[in-house]
Amino acid sequence: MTGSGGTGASEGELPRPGATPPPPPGFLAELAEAFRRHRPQGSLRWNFSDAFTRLEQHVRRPPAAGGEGPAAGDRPGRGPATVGRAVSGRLGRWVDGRAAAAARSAVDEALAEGRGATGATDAAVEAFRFLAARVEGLEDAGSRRLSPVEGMAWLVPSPALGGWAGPVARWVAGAHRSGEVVHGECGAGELAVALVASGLSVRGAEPRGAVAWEAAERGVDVHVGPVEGLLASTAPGSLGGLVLSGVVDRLDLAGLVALLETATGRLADGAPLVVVSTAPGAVGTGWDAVARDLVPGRPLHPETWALLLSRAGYVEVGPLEGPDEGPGAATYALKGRRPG
Amino acid sequence: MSGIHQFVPMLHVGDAVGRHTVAVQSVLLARGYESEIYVELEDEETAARTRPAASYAAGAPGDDLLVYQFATASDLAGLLIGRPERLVVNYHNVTPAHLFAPWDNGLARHQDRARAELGGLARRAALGVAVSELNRADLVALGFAATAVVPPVVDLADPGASSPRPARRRGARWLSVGRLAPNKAVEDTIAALLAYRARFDPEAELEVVGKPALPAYSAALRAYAAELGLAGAVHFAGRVDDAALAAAYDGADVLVVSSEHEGFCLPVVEAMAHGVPVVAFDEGALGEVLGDAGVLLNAKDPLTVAEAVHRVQHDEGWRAGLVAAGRRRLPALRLAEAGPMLADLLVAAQGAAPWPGSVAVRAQGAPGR
Repeated sequence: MTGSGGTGASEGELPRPGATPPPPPGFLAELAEAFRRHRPQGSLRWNFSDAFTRLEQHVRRPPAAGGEGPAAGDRPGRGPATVGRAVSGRLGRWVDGRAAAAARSAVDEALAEGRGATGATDAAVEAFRFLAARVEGLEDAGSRRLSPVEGMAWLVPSPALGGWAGPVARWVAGAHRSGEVVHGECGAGELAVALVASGLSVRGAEPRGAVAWEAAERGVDVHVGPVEGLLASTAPGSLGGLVLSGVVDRLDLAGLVALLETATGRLADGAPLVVVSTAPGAVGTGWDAVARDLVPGRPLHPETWALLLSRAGYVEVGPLEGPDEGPGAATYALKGRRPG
Repeated sequence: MSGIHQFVPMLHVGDAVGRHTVAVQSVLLARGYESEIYVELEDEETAARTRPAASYAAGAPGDDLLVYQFATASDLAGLLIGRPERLVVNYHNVTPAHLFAPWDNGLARHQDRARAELGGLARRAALGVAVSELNRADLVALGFAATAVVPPVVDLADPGASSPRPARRRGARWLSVGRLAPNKAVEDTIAALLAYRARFDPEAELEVVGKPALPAYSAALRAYAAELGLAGAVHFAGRVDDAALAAAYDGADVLVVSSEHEGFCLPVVEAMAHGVPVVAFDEGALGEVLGDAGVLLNAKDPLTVAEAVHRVQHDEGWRAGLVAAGRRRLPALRLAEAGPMLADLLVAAQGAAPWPGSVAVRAQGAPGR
């Protein structure tokens, strides 16, 4: 830092807010990545527009030896959030297929008319540009459908785990064999800290940046963003355990099933899974008007989760004993384990 | 008397290039020159003071001097390269394409085209006038035969000789000013505000003043602020008029600049004039403009920026020193002389006078006139 003027105090004399250590550099990188996931387009050398230009150039002059494909590390810049847009992704693949068919058709037609390779390419490029615009529109629509309100996690926050941290940590630690345990959404890291104290390697996912900051200050390794994004970037069969809370209260049924499918694919054989959910009966009294209006889904009953886990092949499925039991409880926890 | 006419793709009253163009015209008219502003596309707000560029061609005298206010790609480059008159390029910088690419690839390619056009103009122009040494380096690299540096011609409203205000210890007001474009890296300022609120001042707020340049980028900034829990703490004011801008400076405790690329950065100058300390990332022309009149950071991770702002807020002696240094810095930038300096250069480029002594004109290779 450079600057001028005055008789400034030295860095060491600056008052500090208590003894809280700052988040580690890795968390600051996570914070920056959380913004980069909003970028809608690719890098300068790898995108629809550049591909069209290369296509046109190839027709007007022979390609150089070795081709002009994207350089290594210059792949599409869409981050996990964009890639994770399941709906738009499926639509994109469908449209890609239609685009390829349309382009082939345009080329065939142009060749049949005897306009030659240049005319054919012009027609193909025009078809691709049209379809690229359609894909963009579909992606935007899909994105709005999946995330219609900015900062939803703030408007409808995750329930505090309260007394569940101890029981969940004890059961996961007891069932754990090897591999990293993920908690999403980890909030300020209460459970993650308890899991780490049990000797486990833990990664949290928390979409609320300021809350993630608190977790990071407590030493939790936090992914700033939805847990779906973290799971999407995790190798299949590699997770040593997973705890889901918060996110399971907000997703609609299709979203929950997709999340469970992803989670199941990422968990290692024998790895434990715990769902901590708001009780459906507590929604009417415990959620404020904004939450009731904005949440696209509703928390499931424990019996429903038990059914979903069983059908997904989990074993030892059942309720986890905790501090908040009985018909009037605001939250419940359900456990299960991958076979093997 | 022959004329000195300016060309600009569009004349916007709200941006720095537009204000500069109008101010230059005023100086030239005051000296008795014919001076029109020709545009490629009309802006409704300024249509009455511009003419279509295509209308210049007919019957134009060959001894006019044409001045291209260059900041973006346009068909004007081809038009001017093909004209026989003497040509001066007044260069305001082109943002590197890679900063736009993830947000709007079409615009990124436009930036590449702008740079290519600037290279084409280099072979035709008698003189390239840059608004900063950083920009002059661009002109030299592209082969301009003669180059000079004159800061932008702006009318800085005198905010009065207010004494430095003590900083608020709580509820600090951060300010960000500039077009909302990816090179401004406003997201880094938002992340720094998060750090500052977490570690020093939970009531701190940020006002972001500037016209959105890319819808995707503006939407991402809003979404990011909301995700970080700063939806109520980051206020996007959009484009504001001069009075609102002055009020924003007067209400601010610090101007934070996180830009990845700046050709000049007028907000830094405005902050100095309003007695607002500046914390800026040392990139582009920021160091050249700010000098020692602010806090220049060689890193801009959120903690570093938050610590710097905290120091500005906490250490009132240091803060007062920064404000005083800013006031001293303003005359050194020679903004008040920019209009006459540029006019002198243009007259000389027209061939009517030798290069003025007030501006250093550097020649490389073959002379440009």
